[in-house]
Formats: sequence, C-alpha cells, structure tokens
Amino acid sequence: MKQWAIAVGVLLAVAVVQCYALPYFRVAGVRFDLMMAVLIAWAFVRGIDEGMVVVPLGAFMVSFFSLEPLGASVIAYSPVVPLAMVRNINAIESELLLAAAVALAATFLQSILYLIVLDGTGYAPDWSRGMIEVSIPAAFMNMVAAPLLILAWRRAQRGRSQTTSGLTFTNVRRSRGRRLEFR
Amino acid sequence: MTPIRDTGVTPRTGIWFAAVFVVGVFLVVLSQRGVLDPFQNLGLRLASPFTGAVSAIAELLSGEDGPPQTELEARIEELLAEKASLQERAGQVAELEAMLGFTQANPQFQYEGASVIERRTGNFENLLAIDRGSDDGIKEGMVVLSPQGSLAGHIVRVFANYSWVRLIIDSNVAVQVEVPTADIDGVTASDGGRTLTLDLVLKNANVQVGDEVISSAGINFPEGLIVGLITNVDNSEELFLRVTIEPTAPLFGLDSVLVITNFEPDALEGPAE
Repeated sequence: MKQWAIAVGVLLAVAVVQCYALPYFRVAGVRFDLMMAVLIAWAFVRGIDEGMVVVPLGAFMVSFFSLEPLGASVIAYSPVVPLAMVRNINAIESELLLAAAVALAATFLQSILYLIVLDGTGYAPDWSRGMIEVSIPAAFMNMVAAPLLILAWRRAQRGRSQTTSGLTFTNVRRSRGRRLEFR
Repeated sequence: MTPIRDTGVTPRTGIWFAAVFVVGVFLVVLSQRGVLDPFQNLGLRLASPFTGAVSAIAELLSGEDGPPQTELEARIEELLAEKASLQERAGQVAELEAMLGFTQANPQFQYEGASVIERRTGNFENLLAIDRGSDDGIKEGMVVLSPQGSLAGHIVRVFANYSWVRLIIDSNVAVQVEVPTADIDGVTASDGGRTLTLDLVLKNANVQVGDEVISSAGINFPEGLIVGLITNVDNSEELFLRVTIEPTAPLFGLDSVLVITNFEPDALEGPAE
C-alpha cells in the first residue's frame, strides 16, 4: 500500500512538472514529455503488471493538469504497455536499445491518438505540424530520455540491493552457526 | 497466459488495452459535456498553490530572474522591483486608458474587462486563463481583444469564475482576414511560433511589408478587428506568395484583455441534400 502511495506521489509530481515547469524549457520548440519517459522506464524496470496501473494513472494526471479533453492522454499513452511487452520476446539483446525503440514507437502512436482525439472533439489540429514539428523532436527526446532513466533506475536499484546485501551479511555474520547466503 | 504469436503480448494485455481505451473515450465524452468540469475545477484550485510554485521556480530557473548575492545587489534589485512596480502600474493605467479609448470608439460591441491569470503553452496549444467566467456572463466562442483592440483569441472553455482563451497563434485557430490595401483575403494559419501565415496568396497581389491585416466577415470573429502587420512576403514559390503576419496584440505580454460579450460565433448548418 505504501509503495502505491509513493507511486501516486511520483506520478503526480511528474505530471505537475511536465505541465507547469517543462513549458519553460523547450528543446527544438517542443516541450519534453517527461511522463512518457517515466512510464516507459517504469514498465521496463518494475514490470508490465505495474505498468498496467501506472500508465493510465500517470496519463490521467497529465490530462487533468493540461487543458485538453480529460482522458485524451489516457488514450494517447495507452500503447506504452503493449509496446513495452515486446521486450519479453528478447528480439534485441540490449534493453536500452529496445527501450529507445519503444519510446520512438510510443511517441508516434501517442501523437496520432492525441491528434485523433483532438480532431474528434472539434479542435481541428494541424496534423502536418503536429507530426513533423512536434512528434519527431519529441520522439528523439524520448528515445534518449527513456533509456537514461532506465539506466539510472537500475543503478539506483543495484546500489540499494548492495546496501541491503551488506546489512544482511553483517546480520548473518552476527548470528553464529548460520550459513551465509549473500556474497 | 499464452502470448499471441510470440510477440510477448498476452490476451490480458489486449483486454487491458481495450478497457483503458473505453475508459479514455468515456472520460473524453464526459469532459466534452462538461460533466467533469466541477471536479477538475476543484482539483486545479486545490493544486494551484503547488502548481503556481512549480511554475514560479521554473520561470526563475529558465533564466529570467536570479537571487541577489550582495547587499548592494539586493538594494539594486529592490530599486529595480520598485521601478518595475511603478512601470507596471503605469502600464496598467495605459492599458485601462487604451481599453477605455477603444470601447468608446467602438460602441457597437459590449465589453467585459478581464485580467490574465495564467499562460499555458504546450506542444499543441497556446492559451491564456482570464479571471472572468460564466458568473460574469462569459460564454464559449466569445472574442478576446488586447486592451488596444487587436484580436487576441477566443474563449474555448468557461468555468464559474475563470475562462480559457485560445490565442490566434494557436495551431487550432484560423482567422478569416483581409489586407485592405491589397484587396486580398484568406485564412490565417499558425506557423508554430509567434507569427501567423497567409498562404495561397496569388503572386500578382500587391502585398507589402507593413500592410495592416484585419479580420473579415466570418463565423468566428467579427469583421474589422486588427489582426496584425505583414512582416515578410515570401515569393519563392512558383504560383503563390507566403505572407507572414505578426499579431499586433502583445500575446505573450498581455496582463489584461477585453472580451466582446455581444458576439457569439454562428453555428453553420450543413448544406441541404
């Protein structure tokens, strides 16, 4: 339960940063989609089961803080989960390369779905500009950001597990006669 | 569960995807009907101190401001702030005078003055929030002007005490315009930046840099409002000119606006079969 509360807090913070801070730091005229990178990294590092919960949750939060039809991002971010499942087929050895490919595909699908929703709700978006001037730079940014996040997350996990192992090792040494299970 | 054709995607994922899609569509439909507005309004209000702080920090980090380092610098900053405050007051007075001048010169419209309370620029949007909403008689589609009377945008979403304005440089806004000195008309499009473009202008048209562009009779905006000035005429294409228009309304520096309350867009019916 505590873990999920932390997850909600993290997603809320990411959504607020994405909607209220990142518009000030545009790259190539595009706002970086931090939520997309976080959700991809989450599905890769923590697994698809968690991804199935955090993707719609994070997408809803982005939708809530943006002035878009509420739910548009829920639809637009949904391809992240099926795409992230592709890592199960082990077609590419490198997880980071696969994450970059997933980020690329997910960003394009996100843009298409988002534009379809905007079109369907009467916003009449500029498709050519949306795809060329927004999707391409956003896809490249996510291709770099998602693998970096995964790398950082894995390192943090490794560091934590090493710390945990160390403590256990000490504890095990203290209890005489028990076999050491951690090296 | 068995993966579908070894893609790693299980039927459970398919069900999940379908469920999320349906929930998303349901939310969009509810949102479009305004059912979720009170809930969203309350949430945004509760979050506003936090979101405001995040925006302020981001604004600071983006290089527009910096903390004083010495006493002297602190004093300089204090004086600059005082000067800025006086300038802002002078600006507000000037804006109010401009508003008064414009409204008196254009009595055919009824106006509601409003202050800008937030700016939102996303990848697909350029919006302003103003401190007037349905309680003040604001409705979707109403036209928004700068204090000097230049076209700024139109109302797209109305809450009880605030509204969102989609600016004319937003890629979802098209304004029917004319260049009176060259006797041409067309529809503006956003170029994704701070200017507008007018495409498909015949090459023999006599458009010049500096020409004034005004709104022409259309369903979304009343005619005769100043939209901008032509800043570039590109004749590199074979048949047509590409005209760049810089809006005369200071869209990124607006502190107050005028809403025309007696103009609402016409809803066109479909052509008869």
